[in-house]
Amino acid sequence: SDKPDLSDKPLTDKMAQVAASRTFMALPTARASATLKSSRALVGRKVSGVAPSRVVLGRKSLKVNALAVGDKIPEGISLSYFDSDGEMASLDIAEACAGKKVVLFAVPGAFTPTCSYNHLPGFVEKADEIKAKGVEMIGCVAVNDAFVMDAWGKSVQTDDKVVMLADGSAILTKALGVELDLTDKGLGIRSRRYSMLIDDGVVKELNLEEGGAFTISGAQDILDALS
Amino acid sequence: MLAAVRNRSRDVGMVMRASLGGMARGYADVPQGHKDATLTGAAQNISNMRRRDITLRQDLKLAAARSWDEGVSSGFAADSLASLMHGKKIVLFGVPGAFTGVCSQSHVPGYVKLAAEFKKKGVDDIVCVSVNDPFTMKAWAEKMGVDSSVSFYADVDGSWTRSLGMEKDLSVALLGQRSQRYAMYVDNGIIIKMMVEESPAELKVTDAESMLTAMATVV
Repeated sequence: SDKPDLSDKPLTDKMAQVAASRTFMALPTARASATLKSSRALVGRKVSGVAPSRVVLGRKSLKVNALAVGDKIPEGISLSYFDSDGEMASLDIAEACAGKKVVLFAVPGAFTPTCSYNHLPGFVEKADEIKAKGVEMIGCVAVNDAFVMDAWGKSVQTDDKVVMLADGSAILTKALGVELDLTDKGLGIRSRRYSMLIDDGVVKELNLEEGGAFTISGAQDILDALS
Repeated sequence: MLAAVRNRSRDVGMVMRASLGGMARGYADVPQGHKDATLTGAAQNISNMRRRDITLRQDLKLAAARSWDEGVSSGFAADSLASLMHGKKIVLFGVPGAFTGVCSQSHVPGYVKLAAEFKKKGVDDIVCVSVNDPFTMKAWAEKMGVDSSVSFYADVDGSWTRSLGMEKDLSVALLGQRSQRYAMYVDNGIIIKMMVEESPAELKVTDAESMLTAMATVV
């Protein structure tokens, strides 16, 4: 039987566009490969606002290319956190970014050294300076649950300057295409380290590390970008 | 009336039912208790006292709670069940999540307090397992100030929890795929006693006192 001719570029683009124009729902499949594993969190989820150019539609899988400057934050994704009263709350990330400046940074894991000793404390120290430049919210995202994020924030003493957002099922991480496979270190699917400045839902500055390295995603880099 | 049934049908089941005096008992009737059970297949096997040595599952690994540096130096190695259970009597209890309320405030402290009692009964180790990563488990143990009386192990991918049939979707609590609350007494890899809470938020049959009572009934 003839294989379908997939070299027709407009058709492929259109497939991707149709798939990702409004909402996309990836198909579940039994095959376990890296691409499919990374996209399984998005199965059955209605996530809209992911640019068609970033979505790679395979025959049975759907992978999102990594975030870039100028992309919009996807809608329909909510992260949980513990507010200052100690109650569990939910934050729709696109709504939280609408009409204001937000700084988001992600760490591979709570209670891991670089995250605890350098990345998060750096943002806590510089939080007031960053907010003085017109940033309304500073959020720390990790693929952990809200309880762990809350406990981690308390252990690092954030004083509520940084909102500890829990992306427990890696929905936001996979929708942004920044997942990192750390299963061999006993961590599972996590997020790459990044920091970004979002203005009215559009990514204006992005410092995305390759993996868990801590080179360009510190607080000072965001401050320099703001001024 | 019985004669009419026999004449009308050659069906063996019908004839048997007729000979039993009308009692509707089929060939393989499921006991009512099993019909009402909400436990999964794996949990029912355990509850039916099919005592198998669970250390035979060499694919299941639990990662000991450790700091990152310890992880690096150990090459992020996980422990097999045999290293935990072989030749020992242990009490293993599972919690839905580290840093969550009931687990931190009542469940773990209960076992820490009665650790000496367990030692007297011949228990070599008390192990707490949760579906978290090992670094979080270590931070949680440190926060609760637990000494070496209770060891913390991380079921990183949930495979151990699924093998027991104890997986529970706690997405409503925004926790994802986690574990039910359970406690078991394991002797040389064989689960002797296992108790599971009806709801993960409760702590009625899996606390330390209930485990001691249950162990007392073991011959």
